[in-house]
Amino acid sequence: MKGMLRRRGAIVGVCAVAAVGLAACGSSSSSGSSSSAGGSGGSAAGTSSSAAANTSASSSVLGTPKPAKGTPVVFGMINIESNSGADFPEVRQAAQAAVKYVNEYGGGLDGHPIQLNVCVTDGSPATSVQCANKLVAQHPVAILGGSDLAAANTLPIYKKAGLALIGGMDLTPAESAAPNSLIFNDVAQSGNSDIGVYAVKNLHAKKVSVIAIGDTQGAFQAKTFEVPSVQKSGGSAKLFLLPPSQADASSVVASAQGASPDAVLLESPSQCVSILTALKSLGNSKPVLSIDPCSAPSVVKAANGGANGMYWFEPYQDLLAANQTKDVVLTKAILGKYAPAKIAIDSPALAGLTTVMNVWNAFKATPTSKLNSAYMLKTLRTGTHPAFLSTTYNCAMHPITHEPAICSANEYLYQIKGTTPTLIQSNYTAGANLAG
Amino acid sequence: MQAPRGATHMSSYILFLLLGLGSGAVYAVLGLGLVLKYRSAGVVDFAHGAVAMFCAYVFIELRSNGELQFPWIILPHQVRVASSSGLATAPSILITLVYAAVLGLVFYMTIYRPLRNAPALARVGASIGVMLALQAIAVLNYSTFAVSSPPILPATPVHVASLIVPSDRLYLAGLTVLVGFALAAIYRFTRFGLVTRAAVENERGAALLGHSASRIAAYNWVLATVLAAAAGILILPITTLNPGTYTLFIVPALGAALLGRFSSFSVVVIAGLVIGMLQSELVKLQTVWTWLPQQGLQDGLPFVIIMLAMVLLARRLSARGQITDVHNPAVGRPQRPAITAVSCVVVGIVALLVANTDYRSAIISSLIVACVCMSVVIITGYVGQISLAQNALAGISAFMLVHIAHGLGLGFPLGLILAALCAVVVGLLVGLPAVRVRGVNLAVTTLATAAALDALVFNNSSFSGGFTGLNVHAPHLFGLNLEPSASGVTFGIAVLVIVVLVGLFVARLRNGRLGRAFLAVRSNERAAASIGIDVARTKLFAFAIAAFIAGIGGGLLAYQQQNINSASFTLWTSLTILAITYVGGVGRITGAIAAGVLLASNGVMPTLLDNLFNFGQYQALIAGVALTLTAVANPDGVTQEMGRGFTQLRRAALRRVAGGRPPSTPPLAETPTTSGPPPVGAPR
Repeated sequence: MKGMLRRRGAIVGVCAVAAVGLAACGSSSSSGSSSSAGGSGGSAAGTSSSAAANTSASSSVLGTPKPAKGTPVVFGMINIESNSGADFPEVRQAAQAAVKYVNEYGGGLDGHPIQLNVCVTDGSPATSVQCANKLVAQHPVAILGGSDLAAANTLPIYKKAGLALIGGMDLTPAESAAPNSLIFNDVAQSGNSDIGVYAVKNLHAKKVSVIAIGDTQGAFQAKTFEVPSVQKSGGSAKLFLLPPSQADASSVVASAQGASPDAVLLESPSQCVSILTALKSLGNSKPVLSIDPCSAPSVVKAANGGANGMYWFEPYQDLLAANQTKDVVLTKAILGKYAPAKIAIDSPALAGLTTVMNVWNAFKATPTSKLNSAYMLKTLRTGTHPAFLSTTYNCAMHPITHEPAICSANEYLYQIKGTTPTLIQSNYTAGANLAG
Repeated sequence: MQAPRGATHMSSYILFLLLGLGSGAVYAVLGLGLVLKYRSAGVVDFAHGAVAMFCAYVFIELRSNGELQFPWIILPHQVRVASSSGLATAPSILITLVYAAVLGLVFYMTIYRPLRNAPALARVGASIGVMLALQAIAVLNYSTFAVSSPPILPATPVHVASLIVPSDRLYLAGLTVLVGFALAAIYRFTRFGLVTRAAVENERGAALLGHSASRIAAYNWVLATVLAAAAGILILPITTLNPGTYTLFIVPALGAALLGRFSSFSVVVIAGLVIGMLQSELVKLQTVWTWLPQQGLQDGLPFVIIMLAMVLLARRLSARGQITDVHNPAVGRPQRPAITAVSCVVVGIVALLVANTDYRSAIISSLIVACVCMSVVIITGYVGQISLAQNALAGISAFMLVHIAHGLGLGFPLGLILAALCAVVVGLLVGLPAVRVRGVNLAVTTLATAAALDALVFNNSSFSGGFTGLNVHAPHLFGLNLEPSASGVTFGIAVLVIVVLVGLFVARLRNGRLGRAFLAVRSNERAAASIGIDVARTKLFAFAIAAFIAGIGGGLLAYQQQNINSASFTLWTSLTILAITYVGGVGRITGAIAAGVLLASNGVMPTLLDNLFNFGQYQALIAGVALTLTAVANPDGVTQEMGRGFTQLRRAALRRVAGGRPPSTPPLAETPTTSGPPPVGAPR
């Protein structure tokens, strides 16, 4: 009996090692053709958009099939998908959807299909570095930007390998300034400054309360963007930090209200719901301006009316807004046909999709023998190019002076009316250079 | 009529106290569940917050989509039980509570019941495993998107004197008090309560009277899980549900449970509510006393409370009556450490030279993690003190490395040694409570310390560089550039030599007089004291040595990453370090190496398997499951089993060589200990 128990222990022990070993991979790569990484991707979130699910008109919008053939052109991507605080699977899902569209309907790059090797990270430096080394070993022509909090650690690895980071989300200052980096649309920074400027200049707020998550990222963002942009616009700003582990945001919200502000700014991607509901329950009557993630349909729904009247900026044309441009219609068709049904349609998703579309637009006729990171950087940094789901980008213009890798600071201003986003203003760039 | 200025001023303080009732109620209800679990099964369940989180998702899915969720992945994890518009709130809550009862029963019967007489470390390991697994399942199935919850309790503003308070916070606090009183009454006046208390006091006695301690514990566990689910559901409308936040509620809840000495329901309720109210009041005070830290203060509060509880209540922290002696994991006895060290260096250099960039990086990462894990081997394996703060100590050293380089101009290796010595100072502070408490109580203390270091120190941008982190000076030695990005090989060799030297030091420590003192303290503190060992000093010495080794690991990590930020040293990373060392074999140096090579998220084996099979996104899930399995089936870690396998193979080979004659049995390179320290939490 004891022997049996010992054998059982040994078997379980070996299984455990194998299992942990199998699972303890800090990264995971999946080629472009796979669409889902296990799990429904937010079924609870209510983030699925009917916009994406509407496939009825897809085929006519997508055009005539023009499949790419031959040797694939390999790109890498690092994306945060296993972080319990904030992850962005929708970046990969949307990018992969765009890759499928380009390969089936767009003829790929000079007739060759795009292969997108995605490495999943939890955003920690150790895991992302492992991802970067792994992608470099796969000899991609470039790294397409996904989402990563450890770009400061991975960019030197790309540089050593002669690779560029192109597109994606600018979550850290590193990718916004590195010489081997290029960001089509400023997803995470201009909009943060813009809400400060708009509050003072357009809503005539003299005193502004800024509520941010009290972790290193939230405090950094608020101190770098929201607070300075308010101050440089002539207003006064006071910062209130919400501890990430605090169950109820109402005390911090009450504290922010206690400063008698004329407007409230939110820099709180992971706590939008609790802050908006607390603002509502504490009877807030002042304008609320937030960063883009607080405008996600799931947040608006979860806030139970707390988001009504809220302003925000985003770098892309909103898929749920009334104005349906050609790019919006095509995006809906691509996501409807190729993305998981419950993909979150938000700016991160559109950053993933537009990265692929902009690269395709710029290089679809370029012979693949010429495609490498240096050539791509040089081409993209020459002249003005059309930006998918936006207006244009010009990587030589440096619209944000201290972040030379960013090619466009154009933002769209939206406001929630009821539960629907309504376009208020296009091409807003007032906050681009007001960061601290 | 305008209120007098003084009254208005005072009322704002009261308002903030009242606004803290929502958070406080959650901490209190979770704390009650922790008490039930500890009293009945002897488990401080670190997964309690994660269970609340998962049950909240179950409720939301029922309410929003009419689907019942299950805790697994890949296979369909939902079953439709109503139309896609979802169930009404009341039936959704009811089904979720029943679901929680079943979930609690399954967890208890499959995981915690087999561990009733296992070492405290095994129970801690299992609950951390469950926590990691549930969190990973939630990330995979629900991501971190915001979820919508309908109002559950009336949330209309209530006018209290001159204050306006959302009524749901008041209802939540009221319900919590009711639950607390109900539990106190049940356990004081009902037969079930009396039997539970009897089993807690004396399991053997309860068994003689015909009461199954196991069955009683199962009932309590179910009740605790239902309470966790109720807390998770009721707070949904006022908080943000994602896999990370709910799990963090465990720290203040543990503070409340500890203040209640894991026994008094009424004190736990009061303590939970007070912690929530104080956290809220601190927000107000931060606007009045602007010199207070603006970041991390609320997260640091539970640490202060837990430390106070340890100081004031250490001698009264409850002990459970247990029917068997506790045994500790086996400890390895290093054989021929010098030869092994030289062999490791030779093999390591060859591996570094042969490997490509990907695998070279993995080898270096494995070595660094093994170094930090060796600190766990010393403090937990050799001395039996459960420390959940070792990676936080590595973090102190990593950041100090940069400050020392900038401030004193000291580079490698002096800067590394000095940085590790800074970790020693903090390590001694972490270890101070170990003089008074042990087992799970020490685990709770070190968990709170790691959380406080995370919130107050690593979140402090002047220390850690904040979000952008700190750039690390490249290491140079005698003019040789050891920068990782320059070659990788020279840096790898430097890391290899340092880690092997650390391993050699640990081996000599284990085989020497101090190592024997460590083991004596681990086995029986009273007996150790009776033969002249200064138990307190020995423990603190162990904490200091372990902190130094963790600090060396942290410094090496900083050199490897070149830019260091707080993400590498969060509370969860400290838990993971303990977990993988435990799975590897917490009593052995080879266990630490196995943890680094086989189990570290960016180690050699995971890199190999990831390149072959792409299993990356399931990392945390399978790590959690494996940890739980190991705790249940193999409390001594995998290297113990591997060692047995090698021994059997060697004996078989010797038998063949000897022509069937039984060889002389070589001594086993381990020290099994069956007599352990007094029961968990017992006063010394």
